[in-house]
Amino acid sequence: MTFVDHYPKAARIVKANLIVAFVALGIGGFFGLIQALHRTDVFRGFVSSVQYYDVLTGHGVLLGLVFTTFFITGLYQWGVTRTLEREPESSAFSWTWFWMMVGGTTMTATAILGGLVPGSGMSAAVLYTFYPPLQAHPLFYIGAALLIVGSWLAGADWFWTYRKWRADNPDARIPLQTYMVIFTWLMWYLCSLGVALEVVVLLIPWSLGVVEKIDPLLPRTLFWYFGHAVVYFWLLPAYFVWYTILPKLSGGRLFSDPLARIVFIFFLLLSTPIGYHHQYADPGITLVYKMWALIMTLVILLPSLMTAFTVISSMEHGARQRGGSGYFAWMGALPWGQPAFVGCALAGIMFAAGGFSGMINASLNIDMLVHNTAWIPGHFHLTVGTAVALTFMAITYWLLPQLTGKALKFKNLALAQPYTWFIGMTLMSNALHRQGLAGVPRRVAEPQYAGIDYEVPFGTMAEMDWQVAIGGTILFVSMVLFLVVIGGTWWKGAPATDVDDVIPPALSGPEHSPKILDNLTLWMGVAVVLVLIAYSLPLAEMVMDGLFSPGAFPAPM
Amino acid sequence: MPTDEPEASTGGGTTDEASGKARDLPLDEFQPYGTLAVTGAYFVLLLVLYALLYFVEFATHAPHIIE
Amino acid sequence: MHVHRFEKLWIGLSLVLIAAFIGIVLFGFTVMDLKVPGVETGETVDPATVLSEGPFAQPGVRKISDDHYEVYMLAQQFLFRPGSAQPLTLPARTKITFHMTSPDVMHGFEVPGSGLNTTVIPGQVATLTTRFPEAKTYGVLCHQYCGSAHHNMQAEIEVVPPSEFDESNLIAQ
Repeated sequence: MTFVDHYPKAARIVKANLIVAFVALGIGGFFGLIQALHRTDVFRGFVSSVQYYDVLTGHGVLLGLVFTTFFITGLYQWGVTRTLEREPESSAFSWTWFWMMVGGTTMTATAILGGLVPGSGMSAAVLYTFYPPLQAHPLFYIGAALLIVGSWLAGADWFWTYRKWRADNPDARIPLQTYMVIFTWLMWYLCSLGVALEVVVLLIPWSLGVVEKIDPLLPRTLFWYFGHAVVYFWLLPAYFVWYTILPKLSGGRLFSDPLARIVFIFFLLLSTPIGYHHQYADPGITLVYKMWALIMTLVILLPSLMTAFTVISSMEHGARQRGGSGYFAWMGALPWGQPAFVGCALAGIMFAAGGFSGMINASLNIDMLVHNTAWIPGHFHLTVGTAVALTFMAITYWLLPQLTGKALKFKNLALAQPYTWFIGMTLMSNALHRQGLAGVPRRVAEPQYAGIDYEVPFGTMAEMDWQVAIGGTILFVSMVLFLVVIGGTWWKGAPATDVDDVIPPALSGPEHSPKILDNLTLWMGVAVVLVLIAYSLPLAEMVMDGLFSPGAFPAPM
Repeated sequence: MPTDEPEASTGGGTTDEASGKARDLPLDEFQPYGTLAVTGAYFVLLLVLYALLYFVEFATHAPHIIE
Repeated sequence: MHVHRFEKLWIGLSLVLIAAFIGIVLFGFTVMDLKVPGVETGETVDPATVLSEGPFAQPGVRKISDDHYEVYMLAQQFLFRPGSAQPLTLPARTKITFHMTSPDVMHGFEVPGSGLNTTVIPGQVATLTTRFPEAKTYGVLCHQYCGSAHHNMQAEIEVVPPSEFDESNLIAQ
């Protein structure tokens, strides 16, 4: 008996979400391979350099928004259901948000892929950030809005379950997994409001021709109000896995439940008021706000550094229970032959490296060295592209038997997958970082310029290009391995007899922490105040001279 | 039934053979020296790399924005 | 609440790290003059008329004093004016203030491997001041995706010794 037997309704919803996530992963990952080969001039036969930007938009949207969102809603549905021990209150409602998200995704994907079909009359090569006055087909924006609103309803579904549970358990502490779901979604409501306003109030009317001109800075600022918090929207579910499941996979128990709660409170409070650090190089944003973002962004290191300690110590606890010893040798006692563990652990190591390059990005003036260079994709392929994506893939190996009642198939491929991802990403990411230091720009089909001779700090440009191309290819192969294991398990997996789905309690449980940590109203209130401090004045300034002015006309791509 | 309930030190229901567990290590006996070593090394690495990038890679590569 | 003493130590170290980074950035910003765009800000222009009215109608170099020139530069699909059609010539070791804007979409201005980097946003004027340390040719590229020929958008800045700087091409104030 496992999850699918106890909660068949929830299991169906989780599985539906994961299927959409993995389809998006497959297409978006293939686009990534095309880019790695095209940029480096190793092979430019898939698409033209103009279509490169359609592919790049598809890669960013399908992986950054679709794969992540659907995996997260699936994972969180699982977490809420199992820890509150309740099926969704209304299947009809759950399927409504799911199909709304699918409908939105289909519309957006149609607009993007239309750009690759000559004569389709559709195009959305505006990249994942869709800065106006570059204008996409209206379907692109409408679909994006539906995806976001659908995710809001998913959260409402879980709050509904939570309220029912709370009525039955008035004095109980919120189980940790549900606690993390709630805090992630409070943060998500707060930050996605920005992009929803941008899309619904500004971009949809403009793309439909209701208004002619648009003020480029206002939507850009609203995008980044959302655009940095969204990375925590991706990251917190990975933390959810690292805090609540990885200790068990390591053979141990979570070191501290109270600190996990405090970390999630930090992220609710600090994720949104730091969006300006993506606008350090922008005119029209006063230095005061950039300084404020600098300080807040560096302070948000604290919850991630605290996470590093708690997660590593939980793994160490497992290693010592498995007989490990010494200052560093204990790591050898960890289960390096278990794919779910290996994926999460390697993701964590990559995150330590990505954390460092993020500290550089956050540091105001040194960002001028790397802003919009290849350093940035080098950074976020370690964070969202590995810490998040590899954790999601790895934990699927552990979740899928619970969701399907089938044993994992192709275990050797599953074990090879995280290792190959790690190798591929090491090659690609180190080269992208170093290219960025030399000033090679990101988001460019052909970064080889006639008049520019890059001064490379370490290595050579050719060597780095090859590392990007080979690394990208290995990553693509790794992703295919993942899809083969998942597809094989789903369709051909043998019925599982003894599914491993138990999570032991934390060493230091919630009973060791004050109840104020569970006060949702309080923390949401503080988060709103911090956002108002950071954003009310500059947004008012931008809006006061007219919502759509200084206005620029929509421009062809 | 899976559980996250905080009955501390009951050890949960993990099958010891599957997890390769050799012993049960309770909270008051666990001193995370390994974690201290790993995070300490990370701390030093961060400071050194940051200073290198800032003062060597960035500050010496003019032109800069000076006002 | 139970917090292990090692963990307390780690939280302390984390705070030290955060303080050190903020300190280094502020030291660089104030003492070493490593700035960002936006120190001078607040100027807006109308993208619809910027090509025909005001200083951007005549992009180019203007002289403020013997040690200070300013450049009005347009970034537009898919070239920098001045700089793309023929190199922009500027004197070395002299104070140069760039004013940049765009009449169409967002662009970027980057001198690869240096600290010169700004976003160019229609309606906003990006202003930044620098000194080029040596007489040589600096490449410029657009690092903000601006459309189908984005990867062709580049320019050159030819920096010459101040004594060789030809002032006959300057735009009258």
